[in-house]
Amino acid sequence: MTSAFAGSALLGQRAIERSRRNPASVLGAVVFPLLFFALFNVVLRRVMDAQGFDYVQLLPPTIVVQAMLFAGMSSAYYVADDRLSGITERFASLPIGRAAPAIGRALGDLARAAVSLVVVIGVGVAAGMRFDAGLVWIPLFVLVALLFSLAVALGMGLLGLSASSPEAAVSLATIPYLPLLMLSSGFAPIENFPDWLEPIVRNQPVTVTIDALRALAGDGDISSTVPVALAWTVGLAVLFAAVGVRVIGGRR
Amino acid sequence: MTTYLLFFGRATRRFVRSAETMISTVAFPVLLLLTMLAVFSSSVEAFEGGDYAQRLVPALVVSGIMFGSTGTAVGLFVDLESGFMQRIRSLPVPASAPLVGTVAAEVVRATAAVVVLVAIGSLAGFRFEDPIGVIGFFLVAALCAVSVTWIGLSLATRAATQETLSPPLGALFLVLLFFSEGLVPLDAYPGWAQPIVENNPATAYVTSLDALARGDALAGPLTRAVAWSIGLVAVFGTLAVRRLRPEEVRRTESAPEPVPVAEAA
Repeated sequence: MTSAFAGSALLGQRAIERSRRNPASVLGAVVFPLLFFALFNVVLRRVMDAQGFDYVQLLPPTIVVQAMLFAGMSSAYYVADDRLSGITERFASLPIGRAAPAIGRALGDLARAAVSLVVVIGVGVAAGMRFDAGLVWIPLFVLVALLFSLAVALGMGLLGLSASSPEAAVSLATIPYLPLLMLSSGFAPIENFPDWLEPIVRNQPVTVTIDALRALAGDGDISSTVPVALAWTVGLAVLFAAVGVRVIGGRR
Repeated sequence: MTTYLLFFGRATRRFVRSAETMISTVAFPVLLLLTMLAVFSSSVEAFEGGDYAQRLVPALVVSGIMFGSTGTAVGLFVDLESGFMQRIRSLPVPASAPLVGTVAAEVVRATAAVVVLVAIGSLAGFRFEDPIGVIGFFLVAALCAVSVTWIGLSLATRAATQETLSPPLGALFLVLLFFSEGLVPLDAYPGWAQPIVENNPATAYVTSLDALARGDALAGPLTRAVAWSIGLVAVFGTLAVRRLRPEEVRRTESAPEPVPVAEAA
């Protein structure tokens, strides 16, 4: 048991170290979210404010979710890389517990997401976003964001388990990303969407998570949004983890 | 001349046969057009009036060219890494031939992107006021492709790894496009940003395409587009070709690769 715990911690450390030394991960976790925040804020703020959609307050939760998606997407790359380099097999021969590589991977993914989250919130607040619902909700804000990222990382890890190369895993990972993020309440009021699309946009997991984060920052009703977001993210995380266990188990 | 055609043929076949490049050339711009229309058309139409597709199609043509050229830059990087370029250097081939052939092939790709975007855009309200503008539209897209591609190619000759090539290039194009009048009109930008928007190469191409579609005065935007093209080719073309001279290729390729300690362990 001790060795399983130590093994997970050590592999978590390894995952963090790899992200830290990979310029693509640093760009994805820190630079790109800030770039998108700056660009959307400059380009669309006047247009959206004219429509009564307060961009400085409503955009940061969107960028948080985008950053959590980016952070999770890197997981596809690392899982594929570990599998194809043979180190996954090597780990299986060590007395570290069967779950240690997966737990280590998840710890690394969460650490990357946490760094990204701190940077985006910091810049959002500097730009004028406020936690109007009260500072007590910030821990829950962080929890919802990180759980979402964990669910994404688990889902993306599945792509890494089946892709032919780390690069192919990354290309696959970007396919669901764009429609999920764009067709959400994130960048424009939900009423803007064509009527037939609106129910899908309103209920998909990215919108649900953004709405919960906005409510925790003071725009919206916490009790009707946060439980839905938690149900989605925990449900997806459990589903992806279960599929992952089956896939890995089937290979042994 | 034949050599140039050979490299043109190789570059064309290369992206026609790569599923990933065809997706990024044809499918991705269409997906982007449809999602941008769904998300932003009400807001922007309320702000400026008129069909958002009219504004968006030129922007996505330039976007398709820019992001497509990232893949081409990666292709050159792979050629340099694999030793293919070194092999070419041993043949009686002008130093510029592989690159000029590659850039010419980008015109084919840009043309494909224009056809698809105009076709789908027309369904959403994009119109040519004057049919003759169609020809100019293709020509400006070609001009944009042959100019912009040099940026990525010159970076590819200098990049240490693929990770230090595509993300910075992508970030650069993203900034150029967002500050380009392609997504929202000029007066939607804050005052400090407006001079940047007006003096941006992406704006020069987008506004030229826009003027051709709407039948507006073309002289101003087209002059700026041509000036930017001359500048981009002069600077980045020279940088890229110079780097591929025989002695330079040898220096970049035969240096022994240091083994990263962490990975060796």
